[in-house]
Order: sequence, then C-alpha cells, then structure tokens
Amino acid sequence: MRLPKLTDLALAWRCRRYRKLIWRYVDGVLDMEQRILLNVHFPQCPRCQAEFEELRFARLQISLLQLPNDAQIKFPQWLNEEAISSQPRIQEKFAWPRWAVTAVATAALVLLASTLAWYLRQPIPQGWQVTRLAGAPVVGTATLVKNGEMKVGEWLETNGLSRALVQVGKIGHVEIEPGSRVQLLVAQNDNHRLSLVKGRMHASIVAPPRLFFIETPSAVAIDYGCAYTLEVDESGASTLQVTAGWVSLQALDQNAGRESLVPAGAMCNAQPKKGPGTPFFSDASGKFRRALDQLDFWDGGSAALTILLAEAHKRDSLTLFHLLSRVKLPERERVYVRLSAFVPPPAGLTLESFLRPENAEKFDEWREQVEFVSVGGNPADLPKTTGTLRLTGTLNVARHSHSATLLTDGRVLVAGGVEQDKGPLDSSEIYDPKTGQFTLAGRLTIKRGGHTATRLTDGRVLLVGGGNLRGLASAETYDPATGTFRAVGNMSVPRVGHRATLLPDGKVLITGGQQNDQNKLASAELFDPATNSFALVGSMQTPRTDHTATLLKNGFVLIAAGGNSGSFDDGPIASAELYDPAKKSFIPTGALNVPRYKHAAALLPDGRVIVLGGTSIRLWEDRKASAEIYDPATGKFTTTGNLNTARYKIRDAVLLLPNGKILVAGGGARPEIFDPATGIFSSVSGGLGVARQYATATLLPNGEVLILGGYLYGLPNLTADLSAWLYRP
Amino acid sequence: MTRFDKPTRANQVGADEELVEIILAGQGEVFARLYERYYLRTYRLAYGMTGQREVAEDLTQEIFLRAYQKLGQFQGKSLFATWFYRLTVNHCLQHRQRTHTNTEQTVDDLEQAIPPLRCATFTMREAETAIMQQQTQEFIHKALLSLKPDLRMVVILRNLEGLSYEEIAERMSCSVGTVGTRLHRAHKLLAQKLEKLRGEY
Repeated sequence: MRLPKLTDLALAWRCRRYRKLIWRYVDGVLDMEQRILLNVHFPQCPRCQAEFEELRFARLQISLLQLPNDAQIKFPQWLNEEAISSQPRIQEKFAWPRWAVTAVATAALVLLASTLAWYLRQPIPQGWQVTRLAGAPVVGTATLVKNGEMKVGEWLETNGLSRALVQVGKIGHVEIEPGSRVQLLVAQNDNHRLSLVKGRMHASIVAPPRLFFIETPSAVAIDYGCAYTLEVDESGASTLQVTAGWVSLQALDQNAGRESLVPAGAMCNAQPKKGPGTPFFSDASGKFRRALDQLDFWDGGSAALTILLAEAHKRDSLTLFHLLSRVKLPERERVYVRLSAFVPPPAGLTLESFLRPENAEKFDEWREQVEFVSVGGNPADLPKTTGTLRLTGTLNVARHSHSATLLTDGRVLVAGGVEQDKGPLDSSEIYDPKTGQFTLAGRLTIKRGGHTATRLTDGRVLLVGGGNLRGLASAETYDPATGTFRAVGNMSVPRVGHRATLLPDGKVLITGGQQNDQNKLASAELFDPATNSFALVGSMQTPRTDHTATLLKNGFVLIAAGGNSGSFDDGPIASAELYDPAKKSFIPTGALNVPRYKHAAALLPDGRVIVLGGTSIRLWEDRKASAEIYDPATGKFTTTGNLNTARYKIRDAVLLLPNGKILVAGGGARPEIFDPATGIFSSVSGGLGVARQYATATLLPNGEVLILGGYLYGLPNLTADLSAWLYRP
Repeated sequence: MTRFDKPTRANQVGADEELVEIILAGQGEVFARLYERYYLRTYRLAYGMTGQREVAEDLTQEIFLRAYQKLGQFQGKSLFATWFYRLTVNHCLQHRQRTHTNTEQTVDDLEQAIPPLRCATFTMREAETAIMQQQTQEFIHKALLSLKPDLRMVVILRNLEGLSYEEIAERMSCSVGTVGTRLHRAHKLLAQKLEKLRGEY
C-alpha cells in the first residue's frame, strides 16, 4: 500500500526549517551538520532541490562576470588643483547636544504613536462570508438571517441551537458548531487566522500549507492541506482530530514549547500554558490515552510510561517516536526498545547514536518508516535511498558528449567529447579501477564529440560519427593491445545523434541521427568487424535523431522516439519501431505515451525496456520526469513511476545494474535507481554536486559504476568538468 | 620631527593611516599614493555597479574627490580601508539617485540582450565564440544591473570580490543576517532573469 499524499505533505512541513539554510549552502557558508541535514532533505523534496539548483545556477552565472582587472590608473587633474587650493583639515565632528537628540526622538515617537492610533481606528474593509446553517448565529452585534460578512476583529457566536458556515477567503470553509465563540483575526491572502475561544469547528482547507491558522487558548493549529475538527472546552484545553492531510499543533509562543505534527486519523490535545501534547491515534486504548495525558501534562513520569508502553500497539509507533525525543534517559531507553520492536531502526541507529548529527539521514529514514507504519503501511514498501557515491580520480581533460567504454581487461576507455566551447577533442584517456587514476592515451584520428562507442567482440572499440564542425561519416577503432586508434571504412552519410547497437552476431547497427541541423536520417547501416566496413540496410519508417536503440532478448532492436522535423527545433516524436535482424529492415511497433527526445532507454532483466526522461522541445524547462516500459510481448508502452528529477541528455548515463535495477546517472544532481519490482525511482545518497548533461556511466566488472564528465547545468558555453565518481549499489 | 622629514616617509610604502596623517599634516599630494592603492578596487566596484566604463571612471573620480574632501573626518578609529570602503559603497549606492540615470534595465532590454545560444550541435564556429562570450558577459551584467542598488552591491562584493559576510556587513553598515537575506533575494531574482542563459544546444 502506498499513500502518495502523505510524504508530500510531510515534506512541506519539513521545508520550513530547511528553506532558510539553502542559500547559505549554495554560498558555501553552511556548517557540516546543516549540510548533512540538507543533503538528506533534497532527494525527498523537489521544491527545495529546485530552489537550491536555481540559486546555484544564479551564483554560477554571476561568478562568470569579469570585472576589469586592467584599468589604467589615470592620475586625476583635480588632485593637483585640490591639493594646492584646499588642504583637507582635521575637522571636529559636530555633535548634537543631548537635549536636542531627546527632543527629536520624543517628537518622532509621538508622531509614530498618533499615526498608529489613527491607522488602527481605520475600518478594514476585508472580511469573510458567513452563511447561517441553523438557528440564529450572531456576527458582531447583528443576528444572521441568511448571509452576512464577518469583518476582521468581529466575533461570531452560536448558541446551543445555531450553526454557521464561514468561508475562509478563497481556500476553504469552516463549519461552526453550536455553542461556539470565534473571532476573525487576520483575513489576508497569505494569512487566514481565526481564534476559537470555545466550542467546536470543522475546517476543510484546500491550499498550500501554512495559510490557515486557528488560535485557541492553548495552542495554534496550522493547516498543512487538510480537514480537521478542533474543540475547545471551558478550561481552554483543545482537542484536535485530523480527518485528512496533516495539521501542526504549536504552542502559542512559537519559541517555547513543542510542536506536534498530526497526521490523518490521529488526535492531539493541548493544555493552556502547557501547549500541545503528543499525537496519538483515536483507536488507541483508553488506558494508553490516559497515560499519555499524564505524561504530556501532569508529570506522569515512569509509572505512566509503564502503562503506556504496555498498552501500545503497532499503530502507536507514531506516539512512541514523538516521545523518544521528549522523554529523557533512562525512560528514553524503554521507549526506544518498545518502538524498535514495532519498527526496527535502520542498521547502526542505536539508542546512544540516534540523535547525533551524522545519523540525521538514518533518523529521518526511521521517522519516515514510523509515519508510514502508523497510517497502516508496510515499511518495506517505502522508497529507500540505495547505494553510495564517492569521488574517484580526476580526468585529464574536462569532457561532455564523450564516450566511456569498458575494455576487456577491466579498464575504461574515455574518448573524445567536448570541452567547453572549444569544440570536440581528439584526446583519449584510460581509467584504471585498480589505481583509480586516469592516464592520457592515444589520439583519435579526428576530433569527435557526440559519437558512439561500441566494444566489439574482438575487444576493439568502434567509434562512429559524431561531430567536428559538422557531422562525421568516418569511423575508427581503438585497439587495446597497441593503444592506438585506426580509421576504418566510412558510413554512407555523416551522422550525429545516431545510435550504435552491438548485435548478437558481432555486427554493429547504426541508426538515424542527423547529417546537420536540417537533415534527419532514416537510414541505417551495419558495421562488419571482419571487413571493417559499413553496408546500408533497410531504412527506418521515420527519420529520427537522439532516439534510443535497445537490443531485445529476441534479437530485435527497439528504436524509440527521437527528434524528426527538419527545423532546428526538432519536433520530438512518440513513434517506435523494431529492427528485424533476419530481414535487415524495420517494422513499426506501439507508440510511446509521450514524445521524447534526448531521453534514455535500458533493457530490464525480464526483457522489457524502460524509456525515461527526455524533453519535448529543445528546452531544459521541458525536460521530463516520466518513464514508460515497453513490453515486447504486447508491443505496447505502459507508463510507470516518475523520476524524482526531470532529466534529459542522458543517453549514455542509464544502465542496468547487476542487481536488476536501473541506474540513472546524468541530467540531475543526484543519480536515481529504478526498481522494476516496485516501479519506483529512489535517489542515491550523496550527489554529483550539480546536474550534468551528457555525462557517461560505465559498469565495471566489480559491479561499481564509473560516472564521469558532462557539462554543468547552468554554466554557459557548456562548461564540462573533470570529476569522476564511483557508484556502489 | 620636522616638517621636512615627512616627504621621505611618504615615498616609502607606509600604512594607509600614516599616509592620511601626512596628508592632513599638509602634504596633499601624498593622496596620490592612496589613490594608486585603491584605484583598481574602486573602479571595479563602480564598473560592477554601473556597467559602463565611462560612468564608472567618473564615479571613481567622484569617490576619490569626496574621500579627499572628507579625509579630515577620518579619525583613525577604524582602519582607513574600512572608512574608505564605506564611503565608496555609500557613494555607489547614492549614485543612481543623484544622477537620475536609470541603470535598472527593463525586461525588454534584457530580451534584446539574449545571446544567440541557439547554436547547433558542434557547428559553433570559433569566431562566433568570442562574440558570444562578450554577449554573455553583457547579458549577465544587464541582469545584475536590473537589481536594486543594495542587492547589486551585495552580489558584487560577495560573488565578484569574494568578501566574507562580516566584511560586507561592515562596508554596507548592516547586519550579517541582512547580508545573507539580500544575497538570497538577489540570487532568486537573478535566476529568473538569467533563465534564458541555461546551457542549451
């Protein structure tokens, strides 16, 4: 079971404390502990992550601005003249006499006070609509007959027989039950505030979090997009019961006292001067609730805790989790043990260590599981962050749109690519996993970026096409034995944005691409390693570039989506086709649900193909988070879970891991893992710092993945960088 | 110490405060040494704030003239650098109000200044690159100029001059917290304005 709303709302809640830190993080002035907090938070909160990337982008851009460093110092004429005509003299600063300062300050205060008094006397026109539901509710001094308006500062009172409905601006409504007394405090678009002094009301709000507040004599209820009932008794104690979404119950003095986030189905009490207690579920036993009340408000201590722990059920994990940080040792240990029995903490999170900052990530993970269990979920269904990232050696040349190919001896050939705006590169380097170092290797026969690289069955690496100042028809092979590149036969046309697929018979299928901006190609050709030459095969049904080509288990090749119109703003297409190796021709198959371009695809262990990300027109703004799965048995694409981050330009950064999951490495700051069993993408712990376009991911023999290069999101001139990471599942 | 000792001292590299002492003692021409020391930093700031070389030069002159005239008020309670930077910042912030030349750019200006980033895959010609870089610079600077002066100032001091929050707070006579808030706000606005620069090809 999965409750999608749950985490969304909880995220909005958390953001409150993270938002303030984001800029300082971007600016590099945040301390370690808080950085950890944010690192944990970002993968769970697209909004904060987006803000982070936005600020980071602006900061990167501005840093590129160059102020003149070479200004000629012009000796000013005036200096000679001034120096001769008027020497500066030490001046006695004029100081106002003390009485004058006092007089001016007093006058200013009087003026301020009278302005304020005048302002407060002004009628504030804004108010909320009130509708009579039953009896004779009174608004201000007037009895409500049918409809009326409640102005700021006015009271609404219902006697034992009357009920009323108050429209909360444009975001929802509140139903006031008999015997209640309510005052409208603030009626602004970003602050809707009522005071409930006694009685009962039902609120139903559809709005972003933190727009609607109800003050009671004991607490403030803050809306997080929800429906709830709030009741205040004669003593001023309040009871909150949430029916949908989340509500936060806070102490009146925001800086003092606790804050309880209450999910749907749960309740929370508050006492005057003591603030909110611990949330609990309404189906908790009477003994449990009485014990909790003693603990929360009446110094219940150890005896109350004993009863509470004995009465606790799995669903009460939420209460226990809140208590964990509210009670002190040795009571805390008892709560920890009981809670661990219901929801085991993540490995390594012990009683001694769970509050330490370095465990913030695990603590958050535990809390999420507890919240999930409390609403009836199974913690195994929760998306988890999987795997770790660490930096490895540094490239000798910054690159994007390069290729990175595993050689038979376990090393990786990194070839060509583009370094900033200097155009393509002809350098290559070799990564050795044993040393973690990159070493420069032989030169390509020509500068290439955006080419394809395929390891042939004989161990050579075939580099095809790509761009110099325009597309290239040439191809070359790298021989690991000699460490050199050698030209092989040319293709029939120059190609950039094409795909190369190694077929089971050892030949390589080259499909589509573009000759230049205008000419998208439908043609396809086969490279034969025996003759080192290309031969045309049947053409695709549709010309396409920046598509995907995936070898299926039945030997067919799935060609999916891509850009195809002749103009520069390539119209992306949704169509797909299959290459039939026996007939050496293409046949149509089911279309994708969404047109995609510059997306990626990978074969799943069960023979299906996942196609993800991409963009619809050329822009970053249109990049997609959606993903779909092609089933060769039915020939259809079915939508699956979304990526956490929308991505494109990821053609060589998506691959199948040995554990059957899919790694999505480029296009965003944090890699993600797709689990075909659940259809869910989850983020990897840690990140690549900033989104990288046209990075590569290469699976190493030991199961780790080498991620490198790419141009940094936000930098103009497509600035690539030197960093490389290892992902360990 | 006789008056004749002083020119010799002024020819040496002395502390700023010593130079001020000498100037105030009557050697006005020694101001040229302070001028040399602070010219580039002042000019850079003025250029950052105005985006036009001529205006920046004029502004720099005004700042030094003013510093010279007010030098008598420098009482050595703080470092000369601190005093001078405060004066510079204040003068730059007031510049727009006094001259009424509107350095804040309109959206239309920005649109016109968008560099032609729609260059095709690897068909970017090298000759175009230099022009593009120039245009990119102008575009970024225009976005910066569209900010209010106080926001513009924190961005220049932080991002381009690399000062710490404390140093900025001192120069702008505000709290460290305000520096952070202003930087945050400035970058949010800049992100919107620079949106169109995001790497595309």
